[in-house]
Order: sequence, then structure tokens, then C-alpha cells
Amino acid sequence: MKNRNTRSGKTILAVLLAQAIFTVASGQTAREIVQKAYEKFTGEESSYSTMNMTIVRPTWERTVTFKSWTKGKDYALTLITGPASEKGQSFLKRKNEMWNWNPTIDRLIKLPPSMMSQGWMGSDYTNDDILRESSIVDDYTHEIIGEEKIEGRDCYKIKLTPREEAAVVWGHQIRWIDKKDYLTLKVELYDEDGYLVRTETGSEIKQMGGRLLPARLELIPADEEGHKTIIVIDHMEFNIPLDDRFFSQQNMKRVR
Amino acid sequence: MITKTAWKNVWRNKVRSFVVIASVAVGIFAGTFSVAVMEGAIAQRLDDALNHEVAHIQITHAGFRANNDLTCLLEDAGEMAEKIRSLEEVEAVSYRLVVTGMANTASKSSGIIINGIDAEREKQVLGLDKILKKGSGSYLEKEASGNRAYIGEDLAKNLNIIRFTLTDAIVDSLMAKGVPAETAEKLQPLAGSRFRNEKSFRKKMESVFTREEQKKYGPLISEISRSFRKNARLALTFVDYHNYHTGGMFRINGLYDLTNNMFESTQVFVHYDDLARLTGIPPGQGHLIMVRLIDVDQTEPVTSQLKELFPGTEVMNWKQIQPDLAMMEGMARMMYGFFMVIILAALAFGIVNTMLMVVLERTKELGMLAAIGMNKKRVFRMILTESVFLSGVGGVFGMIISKIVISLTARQGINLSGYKEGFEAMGFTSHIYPHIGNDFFILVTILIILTGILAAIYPALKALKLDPADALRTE
Repeated sequence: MKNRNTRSGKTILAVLLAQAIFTVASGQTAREIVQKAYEKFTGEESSYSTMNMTIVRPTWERTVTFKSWTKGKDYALTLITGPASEKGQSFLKRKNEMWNWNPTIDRLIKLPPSMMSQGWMGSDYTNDDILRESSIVDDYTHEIIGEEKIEGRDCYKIKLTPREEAAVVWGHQIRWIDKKDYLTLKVELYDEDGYLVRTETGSEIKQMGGRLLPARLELIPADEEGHKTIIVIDHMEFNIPLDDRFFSQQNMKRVR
Repeated sequence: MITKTAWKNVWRNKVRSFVVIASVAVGIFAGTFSVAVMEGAIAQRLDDALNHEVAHIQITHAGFRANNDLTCLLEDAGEMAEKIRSLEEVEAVSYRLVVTGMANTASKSSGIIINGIDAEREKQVLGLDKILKKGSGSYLEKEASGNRAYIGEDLAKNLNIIRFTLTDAIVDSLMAKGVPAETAEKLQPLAGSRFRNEKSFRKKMESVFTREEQKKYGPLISEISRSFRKNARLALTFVDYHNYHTGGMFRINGLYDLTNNMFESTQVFVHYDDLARLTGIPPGQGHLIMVRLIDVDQTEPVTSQLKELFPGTEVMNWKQIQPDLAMMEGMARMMYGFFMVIILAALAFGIVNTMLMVVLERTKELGMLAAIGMNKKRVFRMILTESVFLSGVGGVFGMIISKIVISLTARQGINLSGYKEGFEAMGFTSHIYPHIGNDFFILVTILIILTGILAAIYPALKALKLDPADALRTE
């Protein structure tokens, strides 16, 4: 009797231990996967790209084209190149601050908190999305919840739950990350009740600037029927020489 | 002698007199009751504003109200508050930080004013703990971990923190509450769905139910399915002391409920320490000092006293901060008087008509009285007294009915929740407790007697013009 008891005790212990190890291991990998996927876009020193953004609404749609320079996480400069009515507007991001230069009215403004929740250039991306991208690596805990095929690619399905004190409004998010190249192909953002708020997808995977990246990004808000924002990257270069001084208010007015 | 005759005269034609008395009574009741309802609503508005929103006196940096700038700080707010506290007219004092910013949830955002408060002191000044909505959590007092916020019910609605969910359990509980099975079954296909706001919920209900059902069970269904996400996350963003963007994640500790929609949907309360840390404002400083007095009537003298005590700051009392309230309080009395005068003027024409009939009907009798030696002064007085009796009896009845109805309705209050949105948008409650002071009844009594006298003058003059010889010969 006694002997059997200890043996079953040992078995339970072993199972628990195995489970613990497995959890730790998979926890680490989930985090690593997200980290690798995150670095796909931001991992390099600097970048230059040209894109066009199509805003789709139930009764109309319009396309805005722009050029964008970034350096690290903190600096970004965006110049609108079309349509003609908006051409020449530029946006500067330095750390947590954002400025807008509008040549038609000759005004440079710093975006106040009240404008942060408005859509950038009328799209479904808010200024806040652009400015305060919370860290999907540090602000969340990660867990692999499955594997699925998206556009013919094998993906990890990873659930991200925000940490208690993180400045994140989402209840949780689910990311589909490509197993081979660590590309984020789909993101679903949920609110605290567990209802879908927004879906983001990446498709048309192409070689750009020496890297494999999805060239077409779509954002679909769940609650608003017929609303959608599509960004298509036309051209992208990485690690071009850019000085910190490039990201200045003076340069906002000069840059072409 | 004349009085007795006049009283008897009144009851010679009972039906006619009764009609006049009844119309006066109804008129007085209608006027008094409406005034009581208005007075009740205004009293509640004042009470809410003074006890939960603005307190009695506020002190700010001279430039704060004009610029709404974070850096317009009272640097020694803590010491100032201590000084004010020692004044004998003062009941409680608190100081707070006031920062404008944005509140965001996963689906919505809204412009707000963030108040960093000393939770304990603010209880005494504004009674913020007393306006907690039942079942929505607690006031800021409990030292829970992390940043905590206390927000208005309306803001919670705007941010979709209050939402409407239909589950199987809710459908079942509806049946238990007397909703017929066939009505409840219509909700079955919707089980598991959630509606972010009242509008979309109502729209869906309207598409599912007939108008009858909607009217009968709509309010109950929306009451049951509406719920509040406890501990919901709220991202607040604002600029800090150096004009940099900053913000923090707050969890909602509880909701408060006031009658003022504007206040409810903009004012967010957080702990002073949390806001001071996030904005980088050193402790002991504040934007706003709030003073509550023991007696509201001391407001003016204490305001000037504080002005002398703290030169260079802006000292404002509630009458200056919310001039609409001060105006309401001052003008209301006058308005009520006008209101009653208009009603009585209309009634006066009725009395004139009746008294004219009286005079014409009694031409022969009046001729006789004159012939046997009753002088003109007495005739005049008799008719006047008769008219005052008519209006007076009506007035007394009217006031008695008003008093009874007002005290009956004041117990339960009048619930106009059907028009809740409209009332609350103006800052008024939709649940009104009518109230009226006794001095109003004195005013009404004087007005009634005056009406009686004025209404009798023309008929009485007509009676005086009668020639006794001619009058005697009329049939």
C-alpha cells in the first residue's frame, strides 16, 4: 500500500513537473515568436517607403499617397504626396509627440490629446495607433493557442493578454504569425467583453528592401459595416543613412 | 350688517356662485401646484450643484480659468487650504488637480476633465461618496492597487462600459418576471449578442417586437440586460507639466449618478497622488481649492474675506461660477408672482361677469335699497364684499387642495422618467419632489383679495349709477 502510494505520488509529481516545463518552454517560444515578428518591421536602423492608403466607406472611397521615413522607434516623418488637395502636408513624430504641418494654411500644430483618437487622414487608423504603439512584446503575456493556415502559409495562432498595468485598452488580441518567415498575417483585437473590435490582415507577401514583407495591410473595424482602410506599400528601403536632424520641424516644411 | 348681507347674497344663486368659486379654486390649484413643481426642481438642482458639483467657493490661480493651463498652479494650495480651514464659517476645504484630457476604451473615446482629489477630504466638501450608483463598485476610498477612477454613469454609457447583453439566463429571468413566453421567445435568437449602446439596443428591440410589446416590456428588458463592466480599463491621456503627452491606465472603481448630464459625462475623479505622479506636479500644489461653508448665506462675506486673504488669486463663489443658478434662485420668486397674477387676471374677468349679472338682476332691489335710504357707499361696499367672498372662498379651497396634493406628491415625488433624457440634459432631475414655502400662500391670499376687489369695481360703479326712481320701476 505504502509503496504504491509513493509511486503514484511520484507520477503526479512528474506530470506536474513536465507540465511546468512545457508551459515555461512554450511561453518562451510564444514570446520569442512575437518578438521576431515585431522586429520584422521595426528591427532595422532606419527605413524609407512610399505607400498608398485607400479609405473605404459605404458611399465613397479615396486614396492618399505618402512617403515615410523612420529611424528607430522614436522618429518618423511622413509627407503626403496626393491627392492634390492634401499634397505637401507632413507629419512628424518624435517620441511621444506628433506635429502636423499644413502648407495651405501655413500652420504647424502639435497634436493635442483631444486629436489623438481621431482617424489619421480620415482613415480607421487613429493618431494614437501611430503614435503610441504599445509594445506587443513587453505589455502582454503570450500563449500559443493553435496552428492555422492563412493564405496557404502555416501560422502560429498566438493569444496576447495585456499585463495588469499596461496602457492597453484591448481585452486581448490574437495574432497569426507565419512559421517560416515570422510574418504577421492576421491580427484580431478584442475588447474586454471578448467581442471583436477590429481585424488587421497582411497579404501579398513580397521581397521589399531585401526583406520578405506583406505589401498589403487591411484594417477592418468590426462594428462599422462597409468601413475599411487598405495600405499598399509600393516601395521600401532599409538602413538608409538618416540623421536625427532630419526629423525636425524645419525639415517638415522642406522635405520633398 | 353689510358683510352679513353680502354673504347671504352670495348664496342666493348657489349654482352660479359655485361655478365661480370652483373656477377660482381650480385656477389657484393649477398655479400653486405648477409653481411647487418648478420650485421643487430648482431646489433639487441647487442642492445638487452646491453639494456635489461646485461647492460654495472656489479659489484658482488668476490665469487658470481663462487659459485652462496646467501650469497655472496654486503652489501652496496645501497651506492655503489649512488657513481657510481655520475660519469659523468654513465646514470643509479640499484642493485638487484639474487636467483636461481624453478617456479611451477599446471602442470609444471621449473628452474629459480629470480631477485629482484627496478622497477623504472631498467626501466632506462634495459628498462624492453619496452619489455612488448602487451596485457599481465603490467610491475611491478603498486603497486598491493601481490607478483608480470614479466616473459618471453617462460617461460610462458614452464609452460603452455600460452595455446591453442578452443571454439565455436573462431571457429566462424575463419570463420569471412576468413577461409572456411568446414575447420572451422572440429574444431567443438574439441570445449571446451584445449591444454597445442604448440606441442600437432599442433599434434591435423595435425590429423584433410589436409596438405593444415594446411599450409594455421594453423598459424592463433594457433594465435587465443592461450591465456595467466592473473594473473596466480606461486609458486616460493628457499633457504633463512640461507639455508632453502622457497618460495612464486606470481601472474604474465605481460610477456616480447625478442629475446633470454635462457634469456626469465630463468629470472623472482619480486619486490626487496618481495624477500628481503622472503629470509631474509636486505634492501640495493644486489647481482648485474648494470651500464648503456651514451656512450658504455666508457665501458673500466669506468670498470677500478670502479675496483679501489671498491677493493675486481668483476667488469665485457659486453665484459667479454658475450664474444661471444664482439667476434661477433670484428670478424664480418673481416669476411665480407673475405667473399667479396672470392666472388671477384671467379669473377676474369671470368674476366681473358674474358680478355684472348680479347687479343687472337686482336692479329693482338695488333701487329699493336706495329708496329706503341706503347710501351709495354702503351699496358699493356690499357689492365689493360679495365679490371678495366669491374669490376668497374659491381661493381658500384652491389653497387647501394644493397643500394636500403637494404634500401627497412630495412623499413619493413625481416620476417623469419618460422624459429623463431631456430633463437631465438641462441638469434637472426627472423625479421631482414638489415643494412650496408658506410665504407663497400669504402672497397668493393677498393677490386673491386684490382680485376680488378689482373685479367688483366696474359692476359696483354700474350699480351706483342707477337712478332709484327708474330702478324701482323695472320688472
